[in-house]
Amino acid sequence: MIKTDAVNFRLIIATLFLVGFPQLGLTKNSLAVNTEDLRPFVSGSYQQIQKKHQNSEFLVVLWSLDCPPCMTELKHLGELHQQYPEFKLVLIATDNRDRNDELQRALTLYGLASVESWGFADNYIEKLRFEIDNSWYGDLPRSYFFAPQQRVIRLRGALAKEKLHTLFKRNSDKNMAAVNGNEPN
Amino acid sequence: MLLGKYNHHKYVNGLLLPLIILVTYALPAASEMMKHKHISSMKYSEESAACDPAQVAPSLACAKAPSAEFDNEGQLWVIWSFGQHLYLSSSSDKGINFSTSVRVNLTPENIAARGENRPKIALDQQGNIYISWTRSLSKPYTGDIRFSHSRDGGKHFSAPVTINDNRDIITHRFDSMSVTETGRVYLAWLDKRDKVKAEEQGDNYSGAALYYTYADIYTSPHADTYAYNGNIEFQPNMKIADNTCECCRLAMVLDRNALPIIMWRDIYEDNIRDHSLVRFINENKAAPSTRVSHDQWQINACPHHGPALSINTDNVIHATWFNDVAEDESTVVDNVAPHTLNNHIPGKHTLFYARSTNDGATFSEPVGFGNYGHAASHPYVIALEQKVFLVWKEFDGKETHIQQMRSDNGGVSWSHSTSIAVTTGQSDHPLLIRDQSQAYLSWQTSEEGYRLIALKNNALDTFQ
Repeated sequence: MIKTDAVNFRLIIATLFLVGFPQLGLTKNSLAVNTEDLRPFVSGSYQQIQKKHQNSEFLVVLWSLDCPPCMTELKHLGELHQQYPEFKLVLIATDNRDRNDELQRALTLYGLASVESWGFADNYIEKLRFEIDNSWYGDLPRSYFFAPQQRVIRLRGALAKEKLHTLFKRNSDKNMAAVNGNEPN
Repeated sequence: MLLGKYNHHKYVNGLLLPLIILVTYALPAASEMMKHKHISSMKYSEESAACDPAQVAPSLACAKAPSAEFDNEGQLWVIWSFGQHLYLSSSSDKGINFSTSVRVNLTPENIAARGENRPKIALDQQGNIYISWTRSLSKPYTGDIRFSHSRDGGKHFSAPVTINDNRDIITHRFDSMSVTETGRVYLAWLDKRDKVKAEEQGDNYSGAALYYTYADIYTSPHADTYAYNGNIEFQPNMKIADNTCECCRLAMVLDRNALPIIMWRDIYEDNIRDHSLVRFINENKAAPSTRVSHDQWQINACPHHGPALSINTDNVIHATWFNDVAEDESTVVDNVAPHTLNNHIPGKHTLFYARSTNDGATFSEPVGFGNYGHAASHPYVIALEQKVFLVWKEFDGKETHIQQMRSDNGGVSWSHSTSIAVTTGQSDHPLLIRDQSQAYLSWQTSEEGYRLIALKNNALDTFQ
């Protein structure tokens, strides 16, 4: 049914454009459905993501359609992405990419359609998890913040919006300390 | 041979019922029957083309999340999902060869069939077969609890019925089932009707609620007439607990009074996801629940890890669960390839076992087990008199192992952990079942298909 809904939704959007109502104000981030598939996340993808963004700070968020707290997190992420579009965010859905329509629909709903998004594309999920974090047992959502000096901060569960906001706007070590209150030093 | 046993069943020998069965089920079911062989080379995931329901015939090797039980005669019964149908297969040689498979639901429907939320099977002393599952609905996290049964040895099944008496398109999921020797069916599940109600009134409600019902399928005065037309009369749904975790399997066993004991991942205070247990004073009255784990794992997330329970004739309750308290909520991790990390950290565990000798009022100090650095997960427990087996999953970077520990003294002390099965592809949660004298691992993997592996009963020589 969801897939059907997604198709219907696309049809509605396509129809609106075809009949000449693009002026309805459908912004790219709010309603337009990204028709491209999610990038296939396979063995080696995580290293590829790290390499690609190695010169900047970025936040990787792992999520799933089967995870109610993930939706709360996506909502906050969408709002912060609108506020700080320059902040590098990478989303990885642990659902198989055969649920692409549902995944895209959720991303679109929360204004995250334009964010770099991946979807698990290997059924051997233990291996994919292990490459991300060998002590990750599958709980969702979870995030990894790639900070300077090769530091990675593991963040578990749905993050409070205030905590995410601190991450998004951080540009100093002072802010970093506020984010990472548990860092052993 | 096996079916002959059921031909003598008092209900099957009636005049009316065979006629109903013939007209309603036997003819369409006959066309649904198919010869099934164990095809080990096929992938069980429907994501792979080799198991695409649109392209291949149903097979256990391609099934998602099968569950199994033995009957009193030692026959293995496996319920499995493929496409939008449930199928039942049986084996008289401990899972080497399987019989013809039979469709349970003749009308297709979406069936939840993943590790934590999977179809269930139970049998009573007469060999009647009971099946429960969650039917997925149109919105995320929504479902209905479904039930069907067979009184002729799995040849025919009753029309599936929905058990939850709230029919909103909301969460009624994660069914758990126990059946007494005389055929009373207990069902419990996670239900969000109270959350919806609270939120409509502007209140917050964390998690879901634990609901419960039961039915006496064969002792009801109307049993002969309603058994196969779907008009099964379960008791009105009863709420057992509020604010439970919403995405973890439940565990249910029967105590010495044939009443359920249910364990679930609960929510304490502010998102502390510890476990609770409830037993029943009678079938209509639950005792106050008790807290089993005190790990204080605080997380606003879906752990996707429910507990497991087993109980023995000595009434000792064996419980196992996952709580990832070994890892802080926010920590700096080394930005290095995982395989270069020191995997095993002694004393650091996420899996726990505890036992209760007073009907669940209190539990022993939990024993931690499993290799933390190998993502030890999804523990299961089964007791066979004084022998108690624990199995769980680990991944060492290349292979997935099912690890096992055994106790020969009712869970007081434990052997070292050993690997009893391995795979190099996708795999299901490990489950344990038992017959009269032996415990078995029931495990589905994409590379090897369905496997039933006997757990060794020989004397232990090493204890922790």
